[in-house]
Amino acid sequence: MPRARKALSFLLAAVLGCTLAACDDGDPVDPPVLRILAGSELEDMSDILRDAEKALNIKIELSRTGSVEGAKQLADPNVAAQYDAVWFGADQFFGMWPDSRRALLRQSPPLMRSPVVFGVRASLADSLRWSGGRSASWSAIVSAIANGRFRYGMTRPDHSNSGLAGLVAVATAAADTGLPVTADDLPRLQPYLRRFFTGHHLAADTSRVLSDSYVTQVGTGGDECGRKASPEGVDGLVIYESEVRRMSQTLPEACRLTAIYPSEGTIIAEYRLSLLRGATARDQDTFDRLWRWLFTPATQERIRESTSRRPGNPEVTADPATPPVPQLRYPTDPEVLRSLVDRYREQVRPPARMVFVLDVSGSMDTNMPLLRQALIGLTGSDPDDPTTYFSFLAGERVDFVPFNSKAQPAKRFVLPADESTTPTLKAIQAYARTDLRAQGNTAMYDALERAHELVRPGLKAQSTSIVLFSDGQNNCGANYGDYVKFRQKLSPAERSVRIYTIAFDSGEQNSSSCAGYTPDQGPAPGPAGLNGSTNNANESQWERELRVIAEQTRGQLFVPGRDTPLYSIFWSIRGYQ
Amino acid sequence: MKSQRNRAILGSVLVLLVILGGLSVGTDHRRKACEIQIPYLLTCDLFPVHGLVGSEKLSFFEDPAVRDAFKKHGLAVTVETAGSRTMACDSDLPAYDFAFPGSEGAAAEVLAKQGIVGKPTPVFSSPLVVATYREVARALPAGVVSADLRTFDVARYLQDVEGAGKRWRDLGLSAPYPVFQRAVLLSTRLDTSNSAELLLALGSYAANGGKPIQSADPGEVTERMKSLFRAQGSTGLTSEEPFDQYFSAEGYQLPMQVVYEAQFLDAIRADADGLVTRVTAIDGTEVTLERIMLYPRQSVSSTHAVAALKPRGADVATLLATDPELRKIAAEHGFRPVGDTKAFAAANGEKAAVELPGPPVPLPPTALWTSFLNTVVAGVYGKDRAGATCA
Repeated sequence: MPRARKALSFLLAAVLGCTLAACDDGDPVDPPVLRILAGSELEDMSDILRDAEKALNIKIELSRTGSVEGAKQLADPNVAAQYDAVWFGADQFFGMWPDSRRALLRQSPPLMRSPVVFGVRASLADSLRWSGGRSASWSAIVSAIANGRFRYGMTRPDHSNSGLAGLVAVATAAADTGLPVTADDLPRLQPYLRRFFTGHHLAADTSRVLSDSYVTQVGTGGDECGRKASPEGVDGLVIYESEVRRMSQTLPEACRLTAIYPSEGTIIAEYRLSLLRGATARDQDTFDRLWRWLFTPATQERIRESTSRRPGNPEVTADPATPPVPQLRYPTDPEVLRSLVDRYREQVRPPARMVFVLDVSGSMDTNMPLLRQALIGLTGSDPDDPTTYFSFLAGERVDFVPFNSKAQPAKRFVLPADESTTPTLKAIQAYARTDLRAQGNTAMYDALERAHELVRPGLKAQSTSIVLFSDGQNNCGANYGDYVKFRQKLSPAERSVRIYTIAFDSGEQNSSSCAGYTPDQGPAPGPAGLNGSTNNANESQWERELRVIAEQTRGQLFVPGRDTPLYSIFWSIRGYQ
Repeated sequence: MKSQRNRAILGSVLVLLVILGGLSVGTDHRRKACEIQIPYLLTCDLFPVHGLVGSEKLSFFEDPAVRDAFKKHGLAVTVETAGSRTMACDSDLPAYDFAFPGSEGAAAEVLAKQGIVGKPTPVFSSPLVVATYREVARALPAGVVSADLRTFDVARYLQDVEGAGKRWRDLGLSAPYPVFQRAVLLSTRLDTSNSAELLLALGSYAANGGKPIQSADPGEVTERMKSLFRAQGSTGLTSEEPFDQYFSAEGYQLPMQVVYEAQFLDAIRADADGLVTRVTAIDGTEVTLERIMLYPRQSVSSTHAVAALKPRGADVATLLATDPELRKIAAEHGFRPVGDTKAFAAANGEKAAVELPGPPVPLPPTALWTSFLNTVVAGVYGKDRAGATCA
């Protein structure tokens, strides 16, 4: 019958269709769209993917995220429905959430590879005698860390594949059984992992943000390449080989990183493209055409040249500058990953201290449920609920400073270090539900100053952060200029406490200022900010103030858009804490 | 506009010709519809046939000679690949004309899932072999590999290497081999793939003292098998193509793994020079990877069977089982056509053992085996993976 059908459609096209211009071009239908959720580092694939669109007459919509965070979110069918495919450096962590694993339908072969390596400043590698063979054992690396000779940046293993891969590799080497790390190994690895993490001075929730942070640090760190510029100053990164090589193209020579390959081996990212369940026949066809195009020798060579990744297609030879490195493997049972990540979250990192400075002025009235939901989203205690992943952890300290026409009384919650955290998490939920009420004006700086005072006793600047949430221009109490003066009196350690700001546009502004309030101009609209963000001409004074406050501490301004729910911004900030 | 009108007229004329042509030849569409080809006017009219096949058969289906052989019978066969054990779960199964996994059991499951009464058609077989390197085979303790580097003793491997906790460095290998790691016999994933199940058959038989297991959870044997598969670690979640990597310059990552004999023979056919690769380790040492395959002393084979889902799928099955040309090409790709030793010997007599060194390993009853398999899978990959191939 296909003959008849084909003939019929031809006939119809001949009789009816050819008066339409589309007939000349063959297919009058819009090109198929493939929506891909990808690892942050795949930004470097943009040009290649644009050419794929042209070559295949398809459209690719790429969203980027920390891979582990992305995998977790796919457990939610509503999130999974927003994508047709995912493209991460690994997929073993999907197994931590059975619903996420079930979301994967089919996979391509590895499309490119990149080992997770130590990127170390060349001069330091020389002085540690690592550079000769470009290789060092994990134990040599960890003892250099324990001696304070090596401080590094790494993404959070509970948010990003490169951090998780680094953690799995160091644990596998430390277990020293020659087998993938097991749950039984973990208790005895604890002291070793703790030593490893004493050198962890710079965190991020995606690889791309991490490498950008290093570039920024180097740019402001003079001869020391950032090492002494701040408590976050590092000597190198645990990151993909491809990122090390990409950064080398732009960094000043003295600060350039050289890849050190751990001699026991390391985890190698494999970048399989995975189709998600629910894909239509058309999606599947687009998916197959795309990965086959990416797998062709010509594209593979281009990937090798322009992204410094190793080819996935075995027919294409690797760049001679990328030496053989033994591949360590993820454990087969994802429960082991979960235990490893839990250990990292609960014990290896010093418990975070955070102050939430929350705008509850009158203009927030209709949006209070969103704020409450976002806070409650950080208090999950059910281990089977994926959102629990971002919840406050044992040993952490959480302060809340709500503000309206003045800073309201602060409320402190300390999660017990070694027993059930559930009662405290429940108390935080109750606080969010009943104690936060919207009314009055906006005395943001009074509250922010209060937050600085709260963290002063026994300050641990590295594990402390302030989250400042506001929905409009400050109009009560201290103004911006007053806050600038306040900061000048703070100690250097207090000034280094990171501040993450959230500019939440509630669509309303409080109309009048408080009596006695003196408005000022806020920070001058200057050149690019510290993090390389550019000034937006349309940026309001309020947003500009929040951006400068965050960037001067190497924090970050978040602006929730229509598509970014407030709770997911709180989750992202947890990635930095 | 004018050219478009002309084209429309021309198109209509062509359509008429095609329809007339179809009427004249179309009555006998199944066979030899295309032997007479008249270019432009009567293009050879092929019936598209779409199959889901195990990835080890992709190179066969992509061989132009295979396409031509099918074309002669009026079929244009295209395929997609999936793990043999996951095929029955593919939600798009109804869109395919046939499924072609690496085992009769998997093919029967496909038919059952689709509510089709009938049996799969076994067409080729291929024994499981150990793909390794000359240097690695020599490094293994005496008795695991025969002196002539032809056979592999699974029982001795489990006892002297795996059970003894040996790492590659203990056996005297050096970088770039993964010397830090255990001397593991690698396979694909046990929860999705058929060749790993064959390794489990060999391993459990050997660990049980040379007898098939008698219960679904034979204590010590279950634990030994869980360790065997856990030791491999995981490189990917739903599919793995370690064989391609084995034949590449990165082959040092995979010192020893089980594969189908056909994969090995097919790779040599495609690239005879590919048997030897030289690799320079990070410390400058040069290593020569010389690929060899070893036959297990007790053999186990996959039977590649077609599950026909539609009439044209049945045509494909019949052709693969009977057409001499297709069987010859299959043998050239390293498969053993069922009931036709000659074709295999003619194509591979010099490279392969036409007679397998040992008898097939006996398997326990299916229900008991499936339950044992699920127990091991749950212990290795997590509870949600046991029997969860159809999520």
